[in-house]
Amino acid sequence: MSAHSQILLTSSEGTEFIIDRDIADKSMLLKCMLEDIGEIGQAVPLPNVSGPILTKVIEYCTHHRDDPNFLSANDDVAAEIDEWDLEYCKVDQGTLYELILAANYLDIKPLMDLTCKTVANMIKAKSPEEIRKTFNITNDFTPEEEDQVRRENGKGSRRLS
Amino acid sequence: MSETILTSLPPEIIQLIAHRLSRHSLAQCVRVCLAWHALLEPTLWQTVQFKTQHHFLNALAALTRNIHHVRQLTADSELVYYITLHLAPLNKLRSLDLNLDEEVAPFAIALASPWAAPLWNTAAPRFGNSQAVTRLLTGCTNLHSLSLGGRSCFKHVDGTDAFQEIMGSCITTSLEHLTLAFRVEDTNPCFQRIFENLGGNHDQEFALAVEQQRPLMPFVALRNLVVRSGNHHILPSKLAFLVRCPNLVRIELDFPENCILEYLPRALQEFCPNLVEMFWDSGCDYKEEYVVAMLRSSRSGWKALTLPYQLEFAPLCFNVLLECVATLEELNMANWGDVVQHNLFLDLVCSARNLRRLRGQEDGERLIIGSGVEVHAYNAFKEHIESGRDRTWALGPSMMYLQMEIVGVPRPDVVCRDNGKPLKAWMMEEGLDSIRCHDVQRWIYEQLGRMNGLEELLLGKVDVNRVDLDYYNQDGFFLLKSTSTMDIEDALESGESESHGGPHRLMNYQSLEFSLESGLEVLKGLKELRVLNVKSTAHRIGVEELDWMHTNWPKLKEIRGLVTERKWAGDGENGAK
Repeated sequence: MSAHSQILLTSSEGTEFIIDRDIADKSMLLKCMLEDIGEIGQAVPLPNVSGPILTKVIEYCTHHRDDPNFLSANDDVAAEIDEWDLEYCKVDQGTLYELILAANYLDIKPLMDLTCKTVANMIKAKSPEEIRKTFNITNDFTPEEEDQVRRENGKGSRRLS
Repeated sequence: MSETILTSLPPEIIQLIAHRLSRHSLAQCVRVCLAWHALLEPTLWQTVQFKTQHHFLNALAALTRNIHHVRQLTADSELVYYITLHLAPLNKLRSLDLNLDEEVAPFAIALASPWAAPLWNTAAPRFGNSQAVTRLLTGCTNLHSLSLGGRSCFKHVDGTDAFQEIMGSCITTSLEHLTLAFRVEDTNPCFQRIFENLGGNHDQEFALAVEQQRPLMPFVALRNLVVRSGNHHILPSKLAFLVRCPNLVRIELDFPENCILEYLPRALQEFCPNLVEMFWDSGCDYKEEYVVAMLRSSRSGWKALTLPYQLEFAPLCFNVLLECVATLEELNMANWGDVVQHNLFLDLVCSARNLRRLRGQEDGERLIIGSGVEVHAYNAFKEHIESGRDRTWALGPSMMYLQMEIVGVPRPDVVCRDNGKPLKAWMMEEGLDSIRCHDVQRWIYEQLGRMNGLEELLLGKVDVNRVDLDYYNQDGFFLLKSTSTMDIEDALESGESESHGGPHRLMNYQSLEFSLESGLEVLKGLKELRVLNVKSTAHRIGVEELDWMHTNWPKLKEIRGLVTERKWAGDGENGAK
């Protein structure tokens, strides 16, 4: 199998994408599939991923094409996100979630790390009300429940570290 | 562009995101909505560090509801009492850390906390910490890690010993990691002299305790034992429980006192045949025979040894270390005592066939007590040539981490520099010509060059000595007083300021040059090298050398000491010639 062979993918709406094999290999799902069944020359359908999202995913994999540490990407929560990745994640929330779902489905761990970390950073240092506002979540606690949860998890109720 | 919202993501993805949040952020998240509360609360409760304070009752109520989520718990006396009384299910708990310093005064709690009333009525007054712990441990049927400590943990209220009782209630099948922190002296304190007179008594006591412990269920899973005794006197009979630890692999000691050290090696050698790792972090003055006995307590041979800097290595200890060096894979040793001067250390590197990590003092340590792992290059080389003995280091391809001080490398150029004035160089006294100087370096490079698997190479402490200007001014006479070491940046600063008066620092360039001229080529084979730390030694690293390193060491990520590379390389022009 030559490193320059190409793979055909179809997104959920049927758009076709031609990508290099080494780009496809960034996705564990595609890598395993291609290793198992070989390159059959037919398009690989990806019914869970829309065209625009697939474009974004391919953009990510292409940028990190020659990254030697791609798979050993660390779980270090505190690790800085590099500039390109930071810029890459400047998308609307919907797209970000779709990217998470796609990364999860295609099994691209570094992209999964990056997108989850991005969402985590949006949650960080916010009060529950601010979190609700940011993510458009309805508060469905009754006042009594809310009061109890606040007492148990609010400031000073106990010391947990 | 897309309608997907955060709450529509599958729960497992929400959890993945939550995994990246701090505990504080997580606590905010459980207050956002019902779904998140249900989903994330268990995560929040997996690790609990509980300290009694106000809002105690609220926190207790929450803990009681969530106790089945808790996997890791750190608790104080009051919580232990509470859990004990309420018989909360702790069978899922994997890690428990108890620090019981104070006996809880039942009456006081009963007034403050309604839950403690039954304690006052039924169990008091003889229900103390030790009983609570015993009862608590009986319920922890899946514990993997246990840490017990505090002033009142191992004692009954009446002051009698509760240690054996507590150990009797521990789960034996799953416990892998046990920490015992003795914070208080046992009764009958015996200092060394008294202890020697009472030795026989302890022997009997110890043997008796062993016989009592022997029939009990063994801790089949226990591999790691930590004993912290803070140099307190602990009755040796406590160590008898080692008879129940046949599978112990690693022991960690923190300030063991002499009395423990007399009995510990016996117990380890007799009862723990699989012991291969010792982490002895700190200590005090020990009788040499005890240190020797400790070093002999592994029946299978040590694989990993960490020895405290307080341990002065007398020749006897060193010989025992040499006996077990063949199996060693990792050696961390902060102090080699006077051994260094005789280069006995070379005997060790010449026979440690399996060594993979050798570490001296921690890198970055400012205050140096004792001396690190050190080779005197010139003496070693001379011995190698003159004695005809093969002094080739055994440290070979499997070596991954090497930290040594290579001193006494004769240098053809600068030996010391201060204010641009040359100082009398010891190498001149030795009468070596510059070609011979390079031979010594090349010989060292050859030894290093065989370690194909080396990932980190640290050479040399910061070779800077502070001397008084007065000493220095006396006609080139200088006295090297090793009073302090510091980062080379500091040293350079002071060197550049060229101040007159005040203490001066002399650079003592008696270590490897790391220049192509001195034979760097020989190190071509270190393809795994990631970190090169040559803070003090590499003043000859120039642009050419850097190029060479990056070409020949593909995995090189960091050269520490690089910051000052250019200035150091400039010595030829500005420094003494």
